Amino acid sequence: MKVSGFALLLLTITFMILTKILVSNQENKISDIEERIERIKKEIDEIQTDISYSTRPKKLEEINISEFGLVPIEQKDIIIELENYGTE
Amino acid sequence: MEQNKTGLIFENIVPKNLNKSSRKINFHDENDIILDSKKNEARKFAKKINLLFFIFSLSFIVFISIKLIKLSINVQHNSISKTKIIKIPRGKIYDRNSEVIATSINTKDLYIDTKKILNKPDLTKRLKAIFEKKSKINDLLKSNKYVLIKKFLSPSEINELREIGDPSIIFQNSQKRVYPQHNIFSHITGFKIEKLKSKIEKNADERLSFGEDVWLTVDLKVQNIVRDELIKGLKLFNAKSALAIVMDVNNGEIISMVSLPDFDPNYPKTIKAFTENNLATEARYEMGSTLKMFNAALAYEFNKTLINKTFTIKNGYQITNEKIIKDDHINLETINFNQAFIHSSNIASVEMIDEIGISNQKQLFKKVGLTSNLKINGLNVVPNKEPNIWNETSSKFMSYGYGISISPMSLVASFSTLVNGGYKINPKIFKDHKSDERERVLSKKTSQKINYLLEKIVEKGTGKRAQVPGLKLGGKTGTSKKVENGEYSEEKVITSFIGAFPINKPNYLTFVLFDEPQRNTGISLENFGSNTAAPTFSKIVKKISPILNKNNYHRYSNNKVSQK
Repeated sequence: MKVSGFALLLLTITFMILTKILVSNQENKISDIEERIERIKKEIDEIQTDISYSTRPKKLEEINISEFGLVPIEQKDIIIELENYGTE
Repeated sequence: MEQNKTGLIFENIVPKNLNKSSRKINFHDENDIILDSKKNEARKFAKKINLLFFIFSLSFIVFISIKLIKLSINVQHNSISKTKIIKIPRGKIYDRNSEVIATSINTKDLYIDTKKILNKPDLTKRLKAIFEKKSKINDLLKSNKYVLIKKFLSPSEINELREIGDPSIIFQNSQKRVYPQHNIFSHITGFKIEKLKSKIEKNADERLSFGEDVWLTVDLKVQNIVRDELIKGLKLFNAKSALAIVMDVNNGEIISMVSLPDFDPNYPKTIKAFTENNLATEARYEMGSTLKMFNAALAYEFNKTLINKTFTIKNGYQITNEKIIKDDHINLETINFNQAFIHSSNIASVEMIDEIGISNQKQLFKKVGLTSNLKINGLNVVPNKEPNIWNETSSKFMSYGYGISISPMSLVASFSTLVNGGYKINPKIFKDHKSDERERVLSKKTSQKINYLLEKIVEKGTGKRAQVPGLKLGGKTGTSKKVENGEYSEEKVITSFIGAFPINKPNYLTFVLFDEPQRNTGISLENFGSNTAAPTFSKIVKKISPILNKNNYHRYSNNKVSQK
């Protein structure tokens, strides 16, 4: 009886320790993942900022003039919708 | 064998009657006593071992428990300290298509711990080689403190500083607010440098400082086109300043708002006091003839007989004892109601208000919001300035746009009511800000008739130069003299044009204003809205209308933000 009680106690303690280790491990993993997410978010932000700088209208205009020479679409280039011809 | 006194040997004694139920009788001899004592000793020893083992187990449990408690407390402490360290990055500002207008980037600030400097002359020399403000470095290093040398270091500066390798050099993580579009949205976003903030950066600071991103109703492409054309106009007409607004007349979304001269919010220290003002909301003007369209609304709403009236304009109109107003720009002796607007007659406007009356004028101005303070969440709007005394004379002046000073944004908001079917709308700059319920303050018929008049003004009146090939639009020119030394100047004018498109069912309103244009694109030497603001309006609209139609901005799209 004494032996079985003692064994049960040891088992409980072992179980507790294992659970705690498991939980701590999981928490560490979660915080690692969160850190990685934060890092990736920062990288995305940096890339987004770079894109904003490099695709700002003035820059695109310069690229268009030097490389492509495209002409912007104006209203006269568009097929006019019938609704624009209202009753007078 | 031991015998007792009777001579009996006990081993031979046997009970006479052996009963099966009787208990076994044990007799103890010397061996038993020895055995018992050994057993007792063994028992005592076992007890001692048990006690030791119990104490050991108990200590082990207590030890483990303490460790576990410590561990959990440490975890809590760590998480608290982590949350303390994490600095929430300031929220970003986007345009309606999620183009970045303002964001924060991670940089480093340079500090020097003067107590740890190894070689002060050498460090001073090397720092001077890196930074521009050389004299400041000497002063800073003289102090016996932990001093800030420079904020927001560039990557090359960081590399150069690392090469110095002095232990006194300390890099502190920092965040810098940047505006990738430079000047384009300067008057909308404002700027933020340390604790100093302006405009949206200030008005939405509560949201931004908690890391919340903000979406605005403005469009980068449209804003860029409007700004480009306005700059061209400003240079062409040699004007002092200029502004333009593009707004959705159905839900009040501000698609574009430009004020010139502008500034680069990335370099707030270079901003001059005058350029910091957003003229579209923070300035007010006597608008001139654009206000005449409210006379048309008054006539349609209160005095329909005016529509059939003929106005004699050849002799001018004595408005005060000293002042006679004339319509020299119209080569006609008499004009009808429609012609009064097509040719922008001041005399007809005054005669109209004579018949409509002050109370009706006051009522309509109040209804459309010209006399109430316009409030836009996120923007600073100056209140309009009514005449000190609203009497017959001031009422007549107001009929052709004098005597009442209006902010451009307020004019656009009130003009929207004229063209959108008669609904009063409130302009908005935040995409997630729900539009108020629209209240109809003018009849649909009045609005339709006004749109017809606006179309005719552009077709054959003062607004001819605002025409856009392929698009039916309508609008009204405006020219007003500026007050100089208490009198109206003959040279300094404000010229403007306000137009709606497509005019059969307007979705957008565009307003262009030039302050003190010195040249124009017309034959006449005089500067009017028709030869300055109208051609600029045309150039803007022909480029932005394809973008606006493609994106169907005029439809209600409040859910767009939540999807993002």
